[in-house]
Amino acid sequence: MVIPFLWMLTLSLKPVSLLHQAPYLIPTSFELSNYAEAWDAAPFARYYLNSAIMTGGIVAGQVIFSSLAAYAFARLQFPGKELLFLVFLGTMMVPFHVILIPSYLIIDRLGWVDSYAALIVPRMISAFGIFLMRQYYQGIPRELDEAAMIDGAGRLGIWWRIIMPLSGPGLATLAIFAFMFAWNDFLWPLVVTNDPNMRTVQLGLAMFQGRYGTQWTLLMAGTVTATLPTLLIFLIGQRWFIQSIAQTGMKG
Amino acid sequence: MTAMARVRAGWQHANRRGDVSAAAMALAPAVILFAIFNIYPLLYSGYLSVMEWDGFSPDKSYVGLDNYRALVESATFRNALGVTLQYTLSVAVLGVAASLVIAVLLNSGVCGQNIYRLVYFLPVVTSTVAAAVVWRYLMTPGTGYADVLLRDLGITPPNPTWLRNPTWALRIVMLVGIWKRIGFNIVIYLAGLQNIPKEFYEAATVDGAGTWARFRHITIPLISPITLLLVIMSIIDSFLIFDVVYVMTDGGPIGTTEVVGLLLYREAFRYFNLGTASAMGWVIFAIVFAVTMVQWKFFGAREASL
Amino acid sequence: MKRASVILAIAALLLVAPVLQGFSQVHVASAQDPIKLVFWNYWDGTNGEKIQELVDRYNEEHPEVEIENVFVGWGELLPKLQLAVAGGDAPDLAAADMVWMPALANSGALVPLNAFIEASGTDTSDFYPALLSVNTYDDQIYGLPVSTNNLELFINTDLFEAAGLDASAPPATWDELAAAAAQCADPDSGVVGMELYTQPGEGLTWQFQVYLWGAGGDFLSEDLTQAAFNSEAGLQALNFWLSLIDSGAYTLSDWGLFGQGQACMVLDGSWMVGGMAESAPFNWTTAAMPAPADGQPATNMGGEHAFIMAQDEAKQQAAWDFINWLTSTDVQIEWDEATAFMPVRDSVATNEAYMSWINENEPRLLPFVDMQQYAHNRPPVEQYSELSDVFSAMIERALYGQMDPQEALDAAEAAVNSLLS
Repeated sequence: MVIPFLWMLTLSLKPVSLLHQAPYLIPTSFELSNYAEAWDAAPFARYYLNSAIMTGGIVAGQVIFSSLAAYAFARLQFPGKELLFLVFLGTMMVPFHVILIPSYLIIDRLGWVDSYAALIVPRMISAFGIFLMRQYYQGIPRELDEAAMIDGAGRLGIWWRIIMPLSGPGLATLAIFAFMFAWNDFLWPLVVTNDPNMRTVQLGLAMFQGRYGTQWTLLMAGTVTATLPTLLIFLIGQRWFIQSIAQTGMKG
Repeated sequence: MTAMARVRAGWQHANRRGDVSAAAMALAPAVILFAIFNIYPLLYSGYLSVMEWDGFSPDKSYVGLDNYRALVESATFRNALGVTLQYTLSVAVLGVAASLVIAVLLNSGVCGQNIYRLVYFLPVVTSTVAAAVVWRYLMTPGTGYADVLLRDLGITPPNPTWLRNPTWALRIVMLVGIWKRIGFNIVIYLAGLQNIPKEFYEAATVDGAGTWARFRHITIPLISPITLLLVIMSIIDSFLIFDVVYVMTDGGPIGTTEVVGLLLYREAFRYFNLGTASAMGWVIFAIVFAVTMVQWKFFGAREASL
Repeated sequence: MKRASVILAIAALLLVAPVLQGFSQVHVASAQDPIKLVFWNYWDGTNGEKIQELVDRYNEEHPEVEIENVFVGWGELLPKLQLAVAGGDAPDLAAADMVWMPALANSGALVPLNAFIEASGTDTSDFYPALLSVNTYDDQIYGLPVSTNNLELFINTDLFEAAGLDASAPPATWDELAAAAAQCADPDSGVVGMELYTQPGEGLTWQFQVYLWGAGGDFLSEDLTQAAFNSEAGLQALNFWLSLIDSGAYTLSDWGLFGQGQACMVLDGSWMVGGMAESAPFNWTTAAMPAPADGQPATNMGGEHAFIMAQDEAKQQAAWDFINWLTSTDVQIEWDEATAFMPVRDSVATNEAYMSWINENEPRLLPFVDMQQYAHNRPPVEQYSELSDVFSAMIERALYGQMDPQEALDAAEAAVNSLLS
């Protein structure tokens, strides 16, 4: 599982002249200058800021909107429910390249090209998020919301006060995946930004793979660096999983 | 009761509990965003699929079902469907099964489980393109670490040409697909496993159920909504696979890794046949949708009512 | 009330969207502002630094224009151009791979340059005609070549010596090439004698074309309406590749063996010279690509061409002035010296200062400069990318023994002709 990462790390620490030397998995040289050089190859500080804003917006949107919609599907009775759910689910099955041009034309019509709105708004909701939270909510006993309803709570109040607090692990999972998806996304930011100031980290990394060859050491250094934020989020999220288990354990 | 009356009764019942207005509010953001950024583009591509358009010029011309007819007749497209199906089945079946086993082991408190979780999650957090680039490098004969390792262990004949070998190329791409995905499955399984009340297992243990029996009769049924989610997600994502193949083999050798996502990309952005690409997109969409529906009905029956 | 606050929160989030939009810069042009031009290209590394330097200098010398040099990755430039055109936000000018030019010119998205060329008295006959021809449609010129390159033989001197071969007397014919490759190959250590590009797609096609042209064949008929590769020359070229495989001089493999010191020879581009000089952990040299004894010297050319997409006439004029400057002899010499691209103009190739610069700094570029005159271009047809893919797919089948050579050429011919009809 980890060999590719060790390898990536090793390559990122090699001087260019040793790139094609016999393979070692453990770094034998420590060329930290690759990291500095990769960082300087493009305005990466700006790219990280853009990626952070974009990712933050998407995660916030997904956590609220997906779980809200999932609640409707998991707990509420309304006509056309199954059909609507399948329509939502269906949006995941469309090859992205096919809707790329029409989607871009909408962003263009809205005047959103080169804006954070273009990067965030279309992806504040995801069928995967709704599906995930719906499956998750089905594991939460219904007796809890029925008790709250007897106490006179409204339907959305139940979602907010009963369901959400119990959804720690589910929401953490959703947030992690939303983060990861947004942070690593390449094609959509590529399409809706023209201004170099609006580029994201992943677009910056594409610079190292050119028409006339790949700058391996820099690509690897840049990739290692770009992977760290997601890893950090995972570690934090994981702690949250365990905490929430401990809590429910005490209550139970 | 007539159908109409039943519908009306359903409405009234739902309304009485305040469900419909709550659902309308809860679903409004999702409906609006999906309509603008997913449904409309999909319908627009349906329109493009009966047109001939290069994506540049202002004129499009209507060609009826010609684009679809050409696909049906294309041996390349049929081959790609076959390859995609093989890939999808392997990733969905092996990937989900393996991740359930690992997730259960991790959840039962194998020591240092945080480290293991991190290890399995590493591939998931790396961007797909970067991961595929590294794998391609790893499999390079002579200088790739995986190649050298396998050769040193005597597992492979001298000078194997992994990604250029018609037998091996697809297997390696599948392996990378599973490797990339397994952590995703594990994390979602773990979130689900933690939902299963410990009392169930305790009660079963008191009744004398062994490890296997508890897994078989408690874990599997209670985790089945998550399994359904993961199988469907795996099938959808695998069917739409593009990046890994694009980076590692670009469809070769002799078409053995040529998946439909690759053909679609070429038609749209290399050959400028937006009409053909859109038709291909709709065929893929229809297949995935049909497969998902079957899954849904098959598994869904066992699930709590929607 | 809780419920109200939830709804308020959602409403607030929805309202955020338009506000976020405000983050993007809004700039209102005034009459005194210089004409702003956006220039897309995929030059990176040394090439990217040099183009940025040239653009900066041009902006300084021409206060009435301000060109913004925007890097777009090679793999992404074409889809992005397509989307930008569809959305009406195409860049004012761009430089792109010459092989995309016919499709771009045909799309109607490019501005014909004839009137500009005439008005500024630019002598287009100084450009290599093969380069210019990919930009010419119905007698209209849609772009000018900015950079070019070609393919010649790279030799790993260390492996040559170890096999008892002399790299200073490189093979001059296909037979000598095959003999040297067979002698140098060492299957036990995975070393191949002559590396071939056998992955499907344009990489295979553009290497194969060098062999095809060397044997005296052609890829398409002169009027570009049908395949011409299914000929004696085509068969000779394919059989030559197969003989390299059969003799053990080459094993079907992933591209890139030469750079890893695992191939004695390879046919590769002039752009490799700079990077190899920096990073190759072995000694190497270059030579002209051999042809059959009764064949003719030939190579394939690549490179970038600049074109205009601006709708506004003032912008078109400003964009043209820049392209005209960028492709002028003096600027081209400076560009070629910095990037190791090959000359696009005769006046550069015959320039003494340039040639002596090459002799002094990197004589391994000489075979490329010498052979530029024998460089063919890939047929300038709109469907070229697709032709190249179907052609390479059939050749690949022959290489894997799924089809015999004649069968593969027949199949490729049928597929290519049906695309052209």
